[in-house]
Amino acid sequence: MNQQPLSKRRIVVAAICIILLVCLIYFTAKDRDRLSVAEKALREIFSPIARGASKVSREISSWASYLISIGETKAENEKLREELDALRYENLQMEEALRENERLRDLLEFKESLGGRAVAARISYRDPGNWLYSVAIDKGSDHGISSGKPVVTARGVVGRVTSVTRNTSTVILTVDSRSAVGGIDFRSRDLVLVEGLGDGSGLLHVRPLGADNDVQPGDIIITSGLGGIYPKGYVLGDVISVAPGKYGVSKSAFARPRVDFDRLEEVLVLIDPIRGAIGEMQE
Amino acid sequence: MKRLNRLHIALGMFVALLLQAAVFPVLFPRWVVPDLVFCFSAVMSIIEGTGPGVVLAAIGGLCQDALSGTFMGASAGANMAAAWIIGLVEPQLFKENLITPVVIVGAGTVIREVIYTFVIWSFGAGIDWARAFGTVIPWVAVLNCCAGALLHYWIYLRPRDRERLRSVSSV
Repeated sequence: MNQQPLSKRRIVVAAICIILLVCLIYFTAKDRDRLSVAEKALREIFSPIARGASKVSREISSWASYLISIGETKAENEKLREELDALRYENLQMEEALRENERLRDLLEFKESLGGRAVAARISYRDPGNWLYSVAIDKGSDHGISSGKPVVTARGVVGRVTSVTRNTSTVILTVDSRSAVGGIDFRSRDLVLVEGLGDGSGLLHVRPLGADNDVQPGDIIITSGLGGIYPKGYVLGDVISVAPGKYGVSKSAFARPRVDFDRLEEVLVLIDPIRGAIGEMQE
Repeated sequence: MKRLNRLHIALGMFVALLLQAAVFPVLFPRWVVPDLVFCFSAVMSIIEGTGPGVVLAAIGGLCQDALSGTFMGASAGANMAAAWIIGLVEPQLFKENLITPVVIVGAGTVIREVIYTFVIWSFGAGIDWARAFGTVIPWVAVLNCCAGALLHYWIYLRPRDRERLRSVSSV
């Protein structure tokens, strides 16, 4: 007897929940300048811990490679192996420091070459799911970052900032299906639209805007500066294949970004970009 | 059975988020990441029933969404729906072995992922359906099954075995 009103109440609660969630998803599906207090608090707490966990994971990963390398040299003389292991470990540490040094120097040189104001940041964590390609960085509105700012490395475009808290920012990567960047073929000067495929292949879909275009495999695609977000001249990727479109009228191509998104550690957020990396060089 | 208190649950959720967002992507780049947050709420649904499972799914999902910074509520909704379905079959489940929870967590993961991808696709995210159904969803389900087995053993079977041993020894 009591089942009827209870199930009715459940239906009402479920309907309210669904309506609320749909509204929430609708209002948060696009870039947001302001995050809610709860989101800000969670991200401010989570980000430094996640950065620490990432660092520890990287250490574990390098230790694992070190242990694997020990296994491969089992046949060698014991004394020599001990010496070798010690040297290898030392070398690994030095190599790691050297790599980090190189990366940071590249970033610094790149930052100085830009002329505008840029903020260097480290990746704190990645999107917790398997469907969206975004990362969180350890700099936010306190460092001058706001929604829509372009993010780059010395290798090319990483993406753009979609939301910020005081000390963190979310960056949507160019390989995400929600990303679209105006580009130019560096050789033929054809205007193109570069979209993320978001299929895990790590490739970009290059769509030439004009019917008469000359995009070829091996061409470099750079930002056009026309979209209003990315300054002109940053490398988006190298064209790896060109295919005719659905009806043979247009062409579409695929490009591989030069940025290794899986091993991305440091980035530059362009606060006040003056010029691009190679676009001006050509002109 | 000694139940998990709120602190344990909060800690478990936090560790699950940390593993998903900061540890697995670094240790296994390019691999599919298991959805440990959903796995935790699915196991709670199996053990405790609809109520606690759905609440945990909502909290965990909202945390995932907040860290993503976009499609706020999509993970929460998908997690809640899957946890609710698991909770519906919970009274009929035999929980004393690992096979039933593993199968339920696997099926729940597939339901959760299908709902989530459909929702974010509806709101503008591009989904490669061939990859989704051919690679990502099956792999997440397999990884979640493994994690679900561990969690079920840790939260449900191990404390019961201990209790049983204690009562036998006291007799």
